[in-house]
Amino acid sequence: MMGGVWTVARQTFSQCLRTRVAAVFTVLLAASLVALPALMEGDGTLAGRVRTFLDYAFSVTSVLLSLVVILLSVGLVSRDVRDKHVFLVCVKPLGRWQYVLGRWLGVVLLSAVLLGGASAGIYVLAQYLRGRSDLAIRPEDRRAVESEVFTTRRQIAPKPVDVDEALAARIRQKKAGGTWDETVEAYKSNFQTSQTRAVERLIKDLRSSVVASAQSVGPGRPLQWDFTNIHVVGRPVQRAGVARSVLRQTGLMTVQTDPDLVSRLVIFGPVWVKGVVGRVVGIGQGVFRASFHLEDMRSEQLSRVVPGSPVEVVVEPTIQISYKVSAADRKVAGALQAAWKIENPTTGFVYDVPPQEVPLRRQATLIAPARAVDARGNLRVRYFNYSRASVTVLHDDLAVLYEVGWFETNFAKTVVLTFMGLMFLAALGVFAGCALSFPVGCLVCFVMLWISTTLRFLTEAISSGLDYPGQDMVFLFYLGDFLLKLMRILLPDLVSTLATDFIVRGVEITWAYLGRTAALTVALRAVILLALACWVFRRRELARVQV
Amino acid sequence: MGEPSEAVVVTGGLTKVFRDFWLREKVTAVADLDLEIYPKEVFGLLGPNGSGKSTTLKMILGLLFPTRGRIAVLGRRPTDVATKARIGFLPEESYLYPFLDARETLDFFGRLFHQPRAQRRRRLEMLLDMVGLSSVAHRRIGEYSKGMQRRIGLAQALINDPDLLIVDEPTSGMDPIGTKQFKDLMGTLAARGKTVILSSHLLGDVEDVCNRVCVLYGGRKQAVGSVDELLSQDSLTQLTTDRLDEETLAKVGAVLASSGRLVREVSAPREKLESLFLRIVHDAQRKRLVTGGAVAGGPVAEFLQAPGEARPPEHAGREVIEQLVAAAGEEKQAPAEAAPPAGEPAEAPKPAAEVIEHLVAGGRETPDAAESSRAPREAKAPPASRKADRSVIDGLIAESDAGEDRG
Repeated sequence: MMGGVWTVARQTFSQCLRTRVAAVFTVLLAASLVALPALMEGDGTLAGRVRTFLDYAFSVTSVLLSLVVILLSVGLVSRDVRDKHVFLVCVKPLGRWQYVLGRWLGVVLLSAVLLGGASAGIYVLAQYLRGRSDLAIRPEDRRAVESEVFTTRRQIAPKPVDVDEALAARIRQKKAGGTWDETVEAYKSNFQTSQTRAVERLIKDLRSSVVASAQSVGPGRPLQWDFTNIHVVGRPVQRAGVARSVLRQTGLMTVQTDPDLVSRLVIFGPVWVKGVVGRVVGIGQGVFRASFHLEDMRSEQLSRVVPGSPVEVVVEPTIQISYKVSAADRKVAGALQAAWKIENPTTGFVYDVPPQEVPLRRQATLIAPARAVDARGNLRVRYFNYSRASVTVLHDDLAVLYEVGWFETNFAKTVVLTFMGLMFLAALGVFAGCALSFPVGCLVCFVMLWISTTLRFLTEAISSGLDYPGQDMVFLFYLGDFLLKLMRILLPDLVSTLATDFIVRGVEITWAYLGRTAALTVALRAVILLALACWVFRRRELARVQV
Repeated sequence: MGEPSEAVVVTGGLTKVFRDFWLREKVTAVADLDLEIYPKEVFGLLGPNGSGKSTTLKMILGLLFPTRGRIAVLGRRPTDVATKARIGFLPEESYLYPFLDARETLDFFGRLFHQPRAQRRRRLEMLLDMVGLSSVAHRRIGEYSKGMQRRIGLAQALINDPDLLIVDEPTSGMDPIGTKQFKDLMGTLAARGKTVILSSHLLGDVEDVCNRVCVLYGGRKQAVGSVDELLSQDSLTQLTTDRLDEETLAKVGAVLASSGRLVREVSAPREKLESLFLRIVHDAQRKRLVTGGAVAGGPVAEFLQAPGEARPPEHAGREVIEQLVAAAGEEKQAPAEAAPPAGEPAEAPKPAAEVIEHLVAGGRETPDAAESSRAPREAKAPPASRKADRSVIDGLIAESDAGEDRG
């Protein structure tokens, strides 16, 4: 039964390879990939350059292959019907569903080959960029590219802010002040809506306001977040070392130790020397330099350390805290000052990060020892605003990350996700080809592609439109809302298959995410489309009237 | 296949109405067509353009769905996969994939029939040889001339050794060599119990190969029956003999007049242009002149022949020729030098009886030979009710014998 499908698939693959469309796109793809590393500089750092390259390379690959897949899959079936090739194929002992599936499978095979080639190219070029020592000027550049790009990290978001209490207090305050009814009336008048809708709208706005204020902090005040479900893998590594230099006034110590242990250190990451934690500020060949608090330098463990003293060095697994700080006042520029406390809620261990500069409106990373996470996976992070301006750290911009695997695994998952999107598009194209002519089928597919990639944006736009029902042409928003709901059932969110955001940030694509996307994007919608295609093609008269 | 007496194709009240975008009835292409086509028949569908021939064929093939009526092909629905495994189809134009070469094309279609690799390869080579495209099999179909595309189209239609072969305008674009070979093939297939349905404008082709025809006009059946029944002119008798001089003609006229018959026409038969063309091409091939096109087709592929016929083609051809030459020497007193000299390489294989007799007759085709190309032969035997009145002929022979005795 599948023999027929495979025969058509083989023939389709061979046909596609001989089609100029595939050849032209392959050349374009190859040229783009080769040119990208030279053209893309990102933020000037090596990590930024690699990230930008990965982002653009996967995007270009995905866009070009999407176009190829749509053009080929629509054209294969519709042109077979137009040019009457189906007369010869469909009178052979081949079910029409076998023909449709074979066409789809052939395009999928071709896209797998093209995507495989493109992915190999992207990987090789990314490794080439990674190895360019002339681009990693500072040690932290090297650290960033290794620990934030060429890695796979699990990302944990902070527990959501509990604003119910604050919201209730705000409402109580308004009612007590006698402004509640006045505001509701103003909402009713402004939005030309009912009492109920006006109250809903007011509460929604108040909630947004409370959430915003919960994420902002004034000068000298702290912000606090709690994290759960952090399970860092890895064990501490302990080696003997020798102190090479000790600068008590500045808190700096240089230690020579096992190169294997040094290779595990990260710039600005923690290191324990004689049981006292410090921050790595320099890494050399079998040697590193750490910075300690001045009080710690006077502690019992370190006060007797002199050059030549044997010391015990321990490197523990680390976690990263990714954050972005914005100033409420847009006029504030440059860097801000802040200190951090990373706390273990159970043991009371605190990893202090002394006041230092934090970049403004740019994602930054802080490294802390995994010891700050308790056995149940809980962690508390506090931010102390040492600036004169009020700052905001949005929940969406804050996450704890820790290494869970290899870059290659994540890279492969990214490729698989892209491939799933292409499988769906091939099904969409074959369906359009079964029902429509080539130009109309292509048009439909491109519109569907556009909708499925902008589904999130369109949903937000329509729902915000529905929040203002008083305006003209409101029925269009209701119609749009209905159509979008229909589209959400029929079409997958193709942005979820374009996983460049994961690979660029070195964030793990979980098996659950992969499985969910596979199930909802390919297994469900592609199968539905293919079934529809088979049904349409089975009922279609392949010959035309010629009387 | 079912019982031999069972119809291979049955249609009852078959109607096809074409509608426009708004589902308004536009035209009735086929109306209440009742047909029964039996095994061993070469059945012709005749009619002017737009008479519903192709529409009927496409409904039989499942490419169009009837508006009303029923249709059974080999006892099943036309779209049934098992049915399609026993059907071969040659459409009116080449709908082959132009980017594939001939070998890839046949391999692809062979795979669709789930043929084992070895069988597929064997048949592929035999068919390429049969249609004369072995030497150009590496070229893409898109580069082929129309006639060459027809040839490869015919090959793909035969790759499954079909029980039912459906051909639409089969000789359109084919040169006379291909046309003649096609006609021979139809005879071979019918002799093996296969059924052929043929649609054509070329009445000569239909007359040559079909033993039953249906004439359509406006989508309706106008006439159906065997070719002999439809074409016979029972009121006339045609006699072919050696050239007669004026005196003998006068005698014949007198004898006929004495029996109350008139001589309506006296003429010397002309050779057919087809025969002349074939001879020229065969001569060119014997001299091995270079051509970039198709060469003369080879013998009918072994798997398409009746079991007893299967043998190496060159030997089979030579033996048949030698046997026929010997028989001709004994029975027809044909000149011995007309046969190819012993030891000379056999020219391009010509399995058809017509070509063989053409050789026997020293390159000139006789009316008998032309008649012999009609296939299948047994189907052309005149019915018992149409026997000519032999009394006048017997009288002529008797008078001639008496004259010679007197001489």
